[in-house]
Amino acid sequence: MTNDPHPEDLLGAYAVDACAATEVATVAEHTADCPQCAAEGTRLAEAAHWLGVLTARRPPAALRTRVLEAARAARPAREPEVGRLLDPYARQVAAFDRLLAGLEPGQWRLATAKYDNVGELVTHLTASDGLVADDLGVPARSTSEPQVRRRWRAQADALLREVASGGPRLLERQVRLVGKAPMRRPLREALVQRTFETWIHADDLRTSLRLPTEPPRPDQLAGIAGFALALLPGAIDAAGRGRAGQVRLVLTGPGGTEHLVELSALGPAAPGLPTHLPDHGPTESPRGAKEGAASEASGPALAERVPVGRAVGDSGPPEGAVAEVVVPLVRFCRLLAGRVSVLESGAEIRGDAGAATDFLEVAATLGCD
Amino acid sequence: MTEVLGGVDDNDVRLRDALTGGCEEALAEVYDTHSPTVFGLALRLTGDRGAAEDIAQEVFVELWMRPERYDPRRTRLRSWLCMITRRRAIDWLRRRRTQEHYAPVLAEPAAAAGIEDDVLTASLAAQVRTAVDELPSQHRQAILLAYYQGLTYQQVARALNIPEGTAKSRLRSGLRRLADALAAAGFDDLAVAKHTD
Repeated sequence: MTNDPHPEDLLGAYAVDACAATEVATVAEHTADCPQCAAEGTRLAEAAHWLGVLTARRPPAALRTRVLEAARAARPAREPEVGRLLDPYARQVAAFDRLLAGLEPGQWRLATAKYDNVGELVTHLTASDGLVADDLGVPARSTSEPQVRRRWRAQADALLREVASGGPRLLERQVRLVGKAPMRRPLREALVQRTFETWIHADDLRTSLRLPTEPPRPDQLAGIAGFALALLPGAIDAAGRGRAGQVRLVLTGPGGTEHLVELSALGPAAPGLPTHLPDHGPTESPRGAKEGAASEASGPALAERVPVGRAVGDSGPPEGAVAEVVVPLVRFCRLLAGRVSVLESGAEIRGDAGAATDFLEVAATLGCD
Repeated sequence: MTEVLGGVDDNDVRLRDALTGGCEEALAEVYDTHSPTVFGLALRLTGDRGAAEDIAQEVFVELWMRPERYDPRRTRLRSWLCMITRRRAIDWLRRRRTQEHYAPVLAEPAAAAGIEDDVLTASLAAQVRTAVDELPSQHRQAILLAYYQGLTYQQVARALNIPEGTAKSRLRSGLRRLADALAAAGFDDLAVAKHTD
């Protein structure tokens, strides 16, 4: 609270920009520290601007085209392809920000996932986003912002703006990914990773607040899984567990797909590419219906119901793969983030259990903490 | 910071985020919703159709260029657009006034025109009109002079031949009464203030 006298007499004039410049500065300085005067100033201005509707008048029809053209010339609208990658990230940013905005001061002290408090979590996310922001040359305006939430949000907004204006070619720019090993990949992949990490941390916070988790849309989850699977063979090699052969990964539930994944980046087939959609449609699948996003709130308890790493049936490995792993898509994404263990994932394994376990254990290291 | 009263408008948040992400459809939506208010206010302040069109264009292009300057947690989008519109229009007026002798005219705003088919705006305008009409005339005069003519409180004082302190206090009391009347009429952005730090 400021010690200056409250400039109450000026608040009405201030609300309608009817003060002298020096008075504007006085009131602005005061209201920055005085919630009471700030609230009154806001309320008076909101009331005053309702006067704006009294004079509403339909503009000439040609003005609409003129305004939209001038806007486009001043700042290019994003291309549809950019929008497809940007919207999932923008949605996670908005959702996480809404959670942060609703925190009571005491809730900022909650331990969240691997972080001692929410401030540390947000600072960590800001640093992760910063890799991409720096590589794109997004101005680091936000470093002077003292509040962690606003610093994160300002940088995320700047990143969104930059990508939106950049066009599809920018999506191919090599930028740093977050991860155990430094790696540069095209921006289009980094945006999937930003969506992934922002969602995971939003769910971390929801978990600390005892709110239900909120996975992204199934197609976006599928994008996250595809992004990680492309990195997985290299990661398996880096962990010293590379071997010849492939694992067939069946991701069940809404958005589910099948993938043949090489167990080494030296393998012959292109890794991580979906081979085909599962025969059972994603939503009709009994596995999907039972273990899809809807049951996700049950979390680790599921491990008790579904035997872990269980060899399913007596049949050998599926054709063309040394092992098959069947796991709900949303839980596989949480496994990637290190938010459920291989044990907790409820993955069902057929064929070479050792290969499947290596596959899952290395997958669980692909998160962003 | 002070949050917008009555809570944040989710639609304003959605639009602001979409604008940040370069979504042109969001700009078209904002234009379609708010252009009668922006254009009409600019026209009322300037009395010049060409200037009003230019100002409306500047206001929407500015929002498109720098959507992050609009903070939906602090104010409603309509209110923010009115603020920017007034500032642009007042700049235009001040440039004109240095060239011509200007005498403020105390005039009630003409009724909104050509928006009868815009049911929402027309109905809001009718409610605001009632609240304004019910203000004590001294308060109403001061507010209308400041708002629609872009006068400072000193100029309001001269126009009404009252002391400057009286002009300031009429602006404040009048806006408080207006806010209370609109809150009573169910305008949730004017509900009881909420503080957060």
